[in-house]
Amino acid sequence: MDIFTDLINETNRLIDAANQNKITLRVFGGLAIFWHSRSDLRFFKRDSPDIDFVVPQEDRHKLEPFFREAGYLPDKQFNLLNGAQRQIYYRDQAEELRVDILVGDFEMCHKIPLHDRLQIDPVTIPLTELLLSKAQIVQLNHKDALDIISLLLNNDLGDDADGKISLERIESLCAQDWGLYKTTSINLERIMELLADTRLNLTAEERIIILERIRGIQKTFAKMPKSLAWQMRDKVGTRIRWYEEVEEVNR
Amino acid sequence: MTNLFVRKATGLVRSWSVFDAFVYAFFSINLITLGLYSFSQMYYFEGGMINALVISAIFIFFEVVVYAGLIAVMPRSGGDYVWQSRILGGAVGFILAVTGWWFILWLWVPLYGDMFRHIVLVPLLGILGAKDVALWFAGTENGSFVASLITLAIVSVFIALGMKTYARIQKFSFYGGMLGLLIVIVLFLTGSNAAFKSGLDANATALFGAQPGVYDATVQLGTDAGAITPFSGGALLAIFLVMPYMVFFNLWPNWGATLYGEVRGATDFKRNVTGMGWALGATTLLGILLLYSIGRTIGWDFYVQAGAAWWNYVWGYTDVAPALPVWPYPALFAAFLTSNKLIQFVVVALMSLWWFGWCGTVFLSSTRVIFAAAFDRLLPEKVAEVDGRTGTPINALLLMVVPSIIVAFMFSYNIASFQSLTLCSTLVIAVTYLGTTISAIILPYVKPDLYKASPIAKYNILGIPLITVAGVIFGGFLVFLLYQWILDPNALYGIGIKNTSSVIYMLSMYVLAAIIYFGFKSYRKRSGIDMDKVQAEIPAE
Repeated sequence: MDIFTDLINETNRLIDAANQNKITLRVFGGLAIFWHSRSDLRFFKRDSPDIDFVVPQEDRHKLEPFFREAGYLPDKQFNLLNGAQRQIYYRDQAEELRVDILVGDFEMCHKIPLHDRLQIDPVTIPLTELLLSKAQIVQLNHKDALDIISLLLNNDLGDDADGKISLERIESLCAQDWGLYKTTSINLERIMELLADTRLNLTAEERIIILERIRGIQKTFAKMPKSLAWQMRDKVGTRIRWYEEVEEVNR
Repeated sequence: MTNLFVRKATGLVRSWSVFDAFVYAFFSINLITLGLYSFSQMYYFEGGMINALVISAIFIFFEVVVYAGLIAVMPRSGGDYVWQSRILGGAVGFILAVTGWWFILWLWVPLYGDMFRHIVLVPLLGILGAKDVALWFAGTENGSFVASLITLAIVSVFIALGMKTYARIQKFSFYGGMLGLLIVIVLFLTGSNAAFKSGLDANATALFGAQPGVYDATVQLGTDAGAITPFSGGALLAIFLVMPYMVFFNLWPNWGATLYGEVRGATDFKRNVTGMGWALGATTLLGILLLYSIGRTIGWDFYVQAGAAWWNYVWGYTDVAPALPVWPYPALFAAFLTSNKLIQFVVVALMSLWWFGWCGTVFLSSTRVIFAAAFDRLLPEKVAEVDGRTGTPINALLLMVVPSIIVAFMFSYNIASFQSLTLCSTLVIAVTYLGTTISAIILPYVKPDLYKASPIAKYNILGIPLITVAGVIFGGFLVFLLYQWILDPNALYGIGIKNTSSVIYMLSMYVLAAIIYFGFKSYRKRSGIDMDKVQAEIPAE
C-alpha cells in the first residue's frame, strides 16, 4: 500500500471513529482537494504525509483523549501554547504521520468562519470554504494554484446542499471581509493567467469551464452589496497590509 | 508562472499580533497602576521626578534593544530562561529565571491587590455611596488581604481564558483606559486649584467621611512627613538616586519577553524594538503630560504631600492618620472637579480599566517560564499540562496562586515587616535581567553560528555587535540600581543588607531555586537523562 492510500484509509478511520465519539472532524487541505477532485486527479499533487482537520471549538477538549485512543501522540509543547486555535498529533514516535487540526474557524491569511458549517459535508469542510481556504493564501504557490484549478474543474457553481461551490456563501463572506475578497480576487486573476500555460495539459473545453466558473465568482463580487466600511477599506487598498502573517511550524 | 510564490509556511497564525505585544508592553509599564502608586511613595527625593522619568527611559530603551535582539535570535516561549540556560548554562538560567519570573511574582500579587483596592475598589465604592465598605478596603488589613484574593481570582480567570482572549481584554482596556486618561487630563487642564480644593474638601467628607479641611490638613501632614520631591530639576546625582524607585514602574517594557514564541513575526528585530520602544516612549510622554496636568490643578507640592501623608502612616512612621482616609488617587481628584456623580463614576470606572488590562501580567509571563522549565524536565511534566475540561494550565497556576496567598497574607498583615519589601519585587527581577543582559553581551562570541545566522547580525556599532553595546549600557544601569538597592548608602530604599527580612526573603528564593534545580538534575540523571545535554539544545518553537 502506498503512502497516499494509507493516508486515505487513515483519514476515513479517524472520521468514523470521531463520529462514534460525537466529535465533528472534517478534512481540509490536500486530502479534501483529493476528495472533491477524485473524478480527475491530474492536478492533484501531494508529497507530505499530513492530514489536516478542522474541529468545532466545543470539541477541542475531546481531541487529546480521542487521538491517544486512536494511536497518536500529542505535540505537547505546541498544543499547550496553541491548543485553543490549533493542535498537532503524531501517529508514532518517528513523527511519520502528522495530524494538524484547526480548532473553530479556519484562520490563516484570512479567517473563514466555519461555525454551523461543518455538518454540510460528511468528510470535508464545505466545498465553498475549501476553495476559499486555498484562494485566501496571499503567497499562492504552484501547488495551491493547481488545487484551485482542480476544484474549479471538478466542481460546478451552485448550491451548497447539492455539493457545489456556493456563490451565495462566497458573496456572504467576501462582502463582510474586504481582505478575503481582495486576496481571492488577486488569486483568481493569477489562475486565469496560469490557464494560458500550455504545460498545464488542459483541453480547450476544460479551460473554458474553469474560466466560466472564475467569471461567475467575479460577477458575484461585482454585484454583491458593499457596506460603507467595505468601500472605505477598498479605497485604502493594498497600501495597508490586508492579511495576517502566516508562519512555519518549525519542529 | 512568475506571479506565484515559493512558499514554505505551513500556516501557523500565532496568537498575538505585534499590536497585541505593544499593548501588553504598554500595560506592563502601567502609568496609572505602577506609575501613580510608585510616584506617591517617592516623596522624599531631591531629584526631579520628570528628569528621573526621562533619563531612566533612555537607559531602559537599551533594555528594549537587548530583549528585542534576543527575541529575534531565539523567539521562544520562556524567554529569559531559554536564553540564559542556553548561553550561560543550565544552573544560572534556571535559578535566575525562576526567581525573577516565578517566585518573586508571589510578592507582586499583594502589590497588584494593593493597587486594585486603591485604584478600583475604594474610589468606585465611595462614589457609589458604600462609604463603610470603601473605608474597610482602604484602611484595614483584612481589606488588603481580601483585595489580594479577589485579584488572584480575576487573574486566574484571565489566564484560563488564554492568550487570544486576554489580548482582547487588553485591547478593550487600552482604548477605554486611554479615554479615561484623556478625560482626567482635560479635567485637570481645564480646572483650577481653587475648584480642586473645594471639590476635595466637599467630596472627601461626603464620600469617605473625612473631617472638614482635608486639603490644609494634608499639606501639614505631608510637610511633617518630609515631602520634598520636586517636579523637575535637581543635581544629577540626586536625579540618579530617584531612578532605583522609578524603575519599579518603568523597567518592564520587556515583560512580554517570555511570550514572544506566540507573537507573529517575532524574528523581526526592528518590529520588536518598535513594539516595546513605542510602549516605553508613549508611557514616558503620557507620564510627563499627566504629572504636568496634576501639578497645574492639584498643585505639585500638594500631590507629593498627599502621597507623603498616606505612606508615612501606612509605613508606620507616624501614628497620625492621613486627613484623607483613602490613597490619594489623581483620577479620583480629577473626578472631584465635577459634582456630577455619573461623570465621577464614569471617569473612575474607565480609569479602572488600566488595572484590569494589566492584572494578567502578574502570571501570564510567568506561566511560560514554568512551561519551558517543565519541557526541559526541570519540573514535573504535570506542570505543563492543561486541564482537559477548562483548557487551563491548572498545575502551573497552582504553583503561582498557592504561595501568593501565603505571601499576600504576610504582606497584608505586615508579618516580618513584609510591607517594607516592596522594592524587592523589582530587585530580584533586575538580577534576572542582568543575567539575560550578560547573555546578550556575550551571545555573538559564545554562540557565533547562532548569532551570524540571526537577523540581528547586521547591526553593529564601530564593528561591535549592537546587542553587545546595548547590553553593556543597560547592564551598567542595572549594576548601578543593584548597588543602590543592596548597599543603600543613602538609606533611601529600605530593602538592602540593612533589612533582615529582605535579605532572608530574597536569599531563601535563590536557595529554593537551587534546591529544585540540583534536585531535579540529580533525579533526571538517575533516570538516564543528562540535563546538560537537554539544556544545550535550542528548544522547538
